[in-house]
Amino acid sequence: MTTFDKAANVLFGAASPETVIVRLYSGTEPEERRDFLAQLSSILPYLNWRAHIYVVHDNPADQIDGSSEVIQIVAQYLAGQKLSTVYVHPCIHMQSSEQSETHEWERLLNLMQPFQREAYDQQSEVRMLILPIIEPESTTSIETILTAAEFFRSRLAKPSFYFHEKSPLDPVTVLQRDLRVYVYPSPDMIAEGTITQLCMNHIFEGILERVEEDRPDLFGHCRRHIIIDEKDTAFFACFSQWEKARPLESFQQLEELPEDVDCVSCISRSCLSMEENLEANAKTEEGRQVHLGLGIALSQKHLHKDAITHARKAFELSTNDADRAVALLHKGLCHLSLRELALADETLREGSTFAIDQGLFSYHRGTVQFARNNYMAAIKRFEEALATESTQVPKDDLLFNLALSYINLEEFSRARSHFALIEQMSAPVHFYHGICDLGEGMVALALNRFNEALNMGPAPDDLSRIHFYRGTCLKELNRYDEAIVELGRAVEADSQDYMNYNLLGFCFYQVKKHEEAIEVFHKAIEINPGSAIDYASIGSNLRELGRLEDAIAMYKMAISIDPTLDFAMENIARLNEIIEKRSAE
Amino acid sequence: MRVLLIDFNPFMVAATPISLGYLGASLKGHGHEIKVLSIGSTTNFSPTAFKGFIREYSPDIVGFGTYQRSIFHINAMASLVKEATPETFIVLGGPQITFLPDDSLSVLPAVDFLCRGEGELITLAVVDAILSGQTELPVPGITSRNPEGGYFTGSPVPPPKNLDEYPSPWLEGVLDPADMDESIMLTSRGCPHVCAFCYTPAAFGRKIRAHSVERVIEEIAFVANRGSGRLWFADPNFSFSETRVVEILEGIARRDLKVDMWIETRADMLNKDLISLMKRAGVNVIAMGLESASENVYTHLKKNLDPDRIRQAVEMAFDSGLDVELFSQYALPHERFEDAMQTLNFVKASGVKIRGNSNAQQMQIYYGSEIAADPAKFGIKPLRDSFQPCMAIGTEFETEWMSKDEIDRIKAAWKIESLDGGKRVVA
Ligand code: B12
Repeated sequence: MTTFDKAANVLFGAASPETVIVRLYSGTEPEERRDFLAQLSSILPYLNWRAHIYVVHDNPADQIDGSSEVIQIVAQYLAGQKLSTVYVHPCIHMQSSEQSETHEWERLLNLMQPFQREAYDQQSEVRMLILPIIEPESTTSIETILTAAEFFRSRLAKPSFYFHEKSPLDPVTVLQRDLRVYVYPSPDMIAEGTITQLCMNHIFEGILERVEEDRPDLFGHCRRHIIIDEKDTAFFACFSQWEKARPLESFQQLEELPEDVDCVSCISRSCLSMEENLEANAKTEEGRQVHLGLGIALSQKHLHKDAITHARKAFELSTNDADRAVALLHKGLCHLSLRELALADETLREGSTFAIDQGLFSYHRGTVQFARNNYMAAIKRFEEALATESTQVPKDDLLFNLALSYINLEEFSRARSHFALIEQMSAPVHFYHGICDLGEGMVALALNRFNEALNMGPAPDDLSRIHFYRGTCLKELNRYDEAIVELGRAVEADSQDYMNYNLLGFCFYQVKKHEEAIEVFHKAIEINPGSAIDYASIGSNLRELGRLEDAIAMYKMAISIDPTLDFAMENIARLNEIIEKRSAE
Repeated sequence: MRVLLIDFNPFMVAATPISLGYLGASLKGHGHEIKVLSIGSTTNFSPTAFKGFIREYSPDIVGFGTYQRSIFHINAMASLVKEATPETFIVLGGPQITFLPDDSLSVLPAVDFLCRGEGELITLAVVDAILSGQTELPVPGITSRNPEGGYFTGSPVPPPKNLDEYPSPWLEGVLDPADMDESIMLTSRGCPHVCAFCYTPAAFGRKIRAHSVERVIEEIAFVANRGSGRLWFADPNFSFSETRVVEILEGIARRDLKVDMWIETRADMLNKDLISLMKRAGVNVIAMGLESASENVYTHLKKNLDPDRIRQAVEMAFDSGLDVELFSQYALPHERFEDAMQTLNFVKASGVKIRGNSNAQQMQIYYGSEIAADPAKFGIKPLRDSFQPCMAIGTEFETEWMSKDEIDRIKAAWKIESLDGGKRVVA
């Protein structure tokens, strides 16, 4: 029995659209319009309990009438409802002087009257608000725009403004007057531009909400805004489907999205196009958060290139050094993931100039040097990071990387001293600790460490390596039978690792199981056909089985690959001698 | 019986429905089938989907946690339930309901029962009444319609003295910490003080009832290990008893639980040692009620707490590396514009960041507080001649000392100083 449903985004099954963009045309026949509105009406009960309807119309002359028709449909629907708030946003063109239009506007706003004060008095949670999007002509003065804003605001119809060029309003004014500005630099195809703009903004806001709530599903389908085109009553499941002109066959289809909707790219692109909007609305900080969030999420999806674009944007939108440092840190790590090591180092270096706490930067610059196999430089950075005593640095990881760097320089005792400081033991820590022990010839100790590593439940990918090294220790201790069992497990965990076969063959040889040894060395050769030593090893096993001619053939094979294999030469000579002696006898 | 419990906050993202969790645990313990939903401002559903769900789940009872600001929404949602399954009983409980005037039922047509006080036992009484077909008689702890006209209220249900008698929503599996980014914990109820604006002393009594230390630690351990480890303590005064809180914190530290805790308490219930123990155990934020920094005002609030004491507590907390939130209000009784500015300046000078909960808010007048009982006595001048019976004055007032215009100016002054534009997080 589930007793608690997480208040996920979608309760009660179906996703309910929150935003509907309605596109109307001039010259639609009255019956056609009626049919279209009936269709629109039929979907209203499926909208989210708080929904937005935008009405977009190409022809300024018909905008108010078209919007009124939609509003009336919504009002009729709401009249029978209990719990619904609908915000209707008619997009309305405004001439450079608004005088003549206020009467028209008033007519529009009157339609929401029944849903205002009266709704409160009747305990109704059914509301309709008309929040127009005003599109002033480019010659309209700021004063006229602000007067219009006041006109709507005083009637509880908070307006937005839509500009085709740079917003003439000062972002601070926009903020103080609680306005909203859309900027879309293309004057062509006005309705298309408006729809693109609205979608972009919605996508951005949806992502901002997800980022602020720290949600894991940053790239989940919005499933929240649909577009309805009056032409053929076409329903589009989302912005990206609309852009591709791929309508649904019916509204009911909304639940089954086509598989190939590319949300990641749609979301990424939309948010990247928001620059003018963010500036005009004094929302650059929100923009920074979104870009940083997208950057991180994209790199989690291994889309590091795109992640870098967003990290760079986050950097550009930062207004303080701490934010700059975070953006560059992230960008640097993306470069690292792409193995663009020089760029990674340079980015992290730049980032460190903004950071108060150098710890993380030194640590990651160390990992970059490590990736470059420059272990001395890596050690220097890791030591720096350690010296900062920064709480941001994952200390155990740092110690681990430091120790690994020392291992690579074969300075095992130094490596060991760092392993000893690690608090949270893990399979890899035990494993590499064991490698140090082995490197210093402390085989029994090493064996114990590898056992520990195994007990911690290592990652499946590491299993074969651990068994291999356990086998190596056992071999060193001349416990060949046990080594064989161990190496058998190594092979089981990874049947494609050449080293496993090579060592296993060696052990079989030691216990005189030559048939088995030969089989295993053949496996080794299958994986690594250029391995002279394995041919030679087969030779030696054949020799022990008394199959001298066959052995010689194998030794020859080995020499043909690697002429420097002296022991193979010697064996050939010795075996030839024996054969000759035998035939002489 | 099948009982569906719903919290619906239309203005905030969904939070842990801890109170419903308690009711759920109580019902579950008696063998009833329950489902608890927490619905927030960003929860997506259409009325059609909601009704479809109700029809499918087909609960015998739907209970709603109700606040002043959500009561209309709850009423609407209750109507949707009745449209879907007319035979379902609807019961409202929560902060707004305990002291709600009886005749509110006249404007809440879809509602059958109002729960007066703690619902753990009262919901059981409701279930009993339904099972025995006695819903048209008084039900203990419940106000309902009298079929012969008017209303009746059943005899009050005294809550148990030992809070551990209520089963735990966490340990009984009613709430799952794995589902939540942050878990709300409730280890005690009630408050010995009688701040005039607060409903807690009336609702939960002036004697604090607390869960045993063992139960609290067991819950914390469970929640910390299963969830994110972010814990938000809803106790009005987390540190009301030093011995108890020390035992709890030491228990957390001893078990080495990875927690990140938010607690609320009074400044005079804090000292240096306690604060550093808090830090060690994983407390990251201490929230305190400042209310007002002006002597003209706080002396009238019956809070009995000098702002200097608060200032010291803030400093101590900062010294120990803790973050602090201060709750403050404006438009309090006896508060003039200058007094309100003094509070803003106090908070600024204290070093507490003005954001989230530290954004001040206008005093809200809710049923159950001393001020709500007699607003005129406290110089409150409502802005409306009459209110719906289910609505207390809320913020729709000015005072003898501050006009609406001045209240708006104070609000703006706080907003300008705010780092997050005045968004509040909790209560
Ligand atoms: C913790 C808390 C929260 C938590 C909620 C946790 C929870 N309880 O589910 C959070 C942070 C989410 C929260 C949010 C808000 N809170 Co708050 N919150 C509190 C606080 C500090 C403690 C509440 C508590 O846990 N009490 C203990 C429990 C046991 O009591 P209870 O919730 O009342 O529940 C019992 C009974 O009421 C009853 N009951 C409750 N629900 C139901 C439902 C049914 C069906 C039944 C039968 C019975 C029943 O049984 C419960 C168990 O005994 C109080 C202040 C205080 N000191 O008391 C404010 C308080 C309750 N909050 C308040 C407010 C205003 C809010 C917000 C509106 C703030 C905001 N800005 O959004 C939101 C609204 C949340 C919503 N769901 O709509 C006001 C409520 C006033 C009112 N009458 O509306 C209070 C009183 C603070 C104040 N300002 O005076 N809050």
